[in-house]
Amino acid sequence: MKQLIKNISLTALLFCLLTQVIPPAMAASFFVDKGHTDVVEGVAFEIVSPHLFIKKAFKLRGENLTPSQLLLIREAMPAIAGMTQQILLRPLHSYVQAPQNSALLEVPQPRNIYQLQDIESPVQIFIQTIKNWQVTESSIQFSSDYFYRPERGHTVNFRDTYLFTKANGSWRFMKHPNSMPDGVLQCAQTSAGWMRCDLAGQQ
Amino acid sequence: MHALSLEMAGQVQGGGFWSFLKFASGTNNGVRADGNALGAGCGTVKSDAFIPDILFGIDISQACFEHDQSYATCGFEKGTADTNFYSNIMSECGEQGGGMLTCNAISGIYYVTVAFLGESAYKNAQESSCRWGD
Repeated sequence: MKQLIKNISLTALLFCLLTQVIPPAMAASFFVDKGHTDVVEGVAFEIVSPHLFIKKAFKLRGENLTPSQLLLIREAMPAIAGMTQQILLRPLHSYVQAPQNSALLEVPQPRNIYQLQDIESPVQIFIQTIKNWQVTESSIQFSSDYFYRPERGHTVNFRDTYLFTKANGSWRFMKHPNSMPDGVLQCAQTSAGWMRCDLAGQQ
Repeated sequence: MHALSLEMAGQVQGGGFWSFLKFASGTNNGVRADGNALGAGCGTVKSDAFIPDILFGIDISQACFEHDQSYATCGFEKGTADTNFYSNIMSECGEQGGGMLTCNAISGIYYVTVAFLGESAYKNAQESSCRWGD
């Protein structure tokens, strides 16, 4: 916090310049994300609430997806974003307890990363990208890259893979294709300066 | 919601002076280089092309992902999100070998920007998040 206060004075000059250059109305328009339509290979994706920030993490370019596959992902996008949101939320006491409703027990549930990685409160996990799509008419498989910052040590990047299937006209999580998550990723900086994380041996 | 034009999201990156500074917004011809939708990482759909994800050779995109998600978590305090943003940039910068001056400059610039210009973005994200249960 001490350092923060020190830096405020160092950057005050730049900020003054910034506020002069960017009027408030323009700033609001520039920094508020109300959603947009993203067109990929002719397929329009509504990147809007709910779960706007998760929908922005869908990696839909550079994945060799055909327009018909993109249409299927578009259809499943709300369900995938909803499940991702469920994973990101730290489970409350009620979530840890066994579900009382037997019908709930039959609904497949994604793995709990907080428990898997033994992530202590108040550390949160965040989504970075949803990618590695494998799409058929009735199934969509993908990997999600998450990260979290433990109280001690470096940022941990983590990947798990999910399979969604279509039944009765709607997409839902069916299972994990593998018995274990892909696990912790290794990160390295590219020559262009980007930090890129992948499984060991796949960088 | 609005449609996106290529001009609006044109890449602000290039050779010469900027290249020397390793400044990159992560967009090219109106799309993000990482394949995610515009607005992922640093900036929004409108400002993505103008707000660097890499500044002075330091990739701060993860700090931006976290900051966005904190704003979009119902009940998350803006002050906490902004202070975390500052610390995360400092931490990422240090891990990537940034010097004290560089790290202080980057985190200071971004912190001041979100602290003073991020109010409407925060309100909008909170409103949506608390309404939809984001």
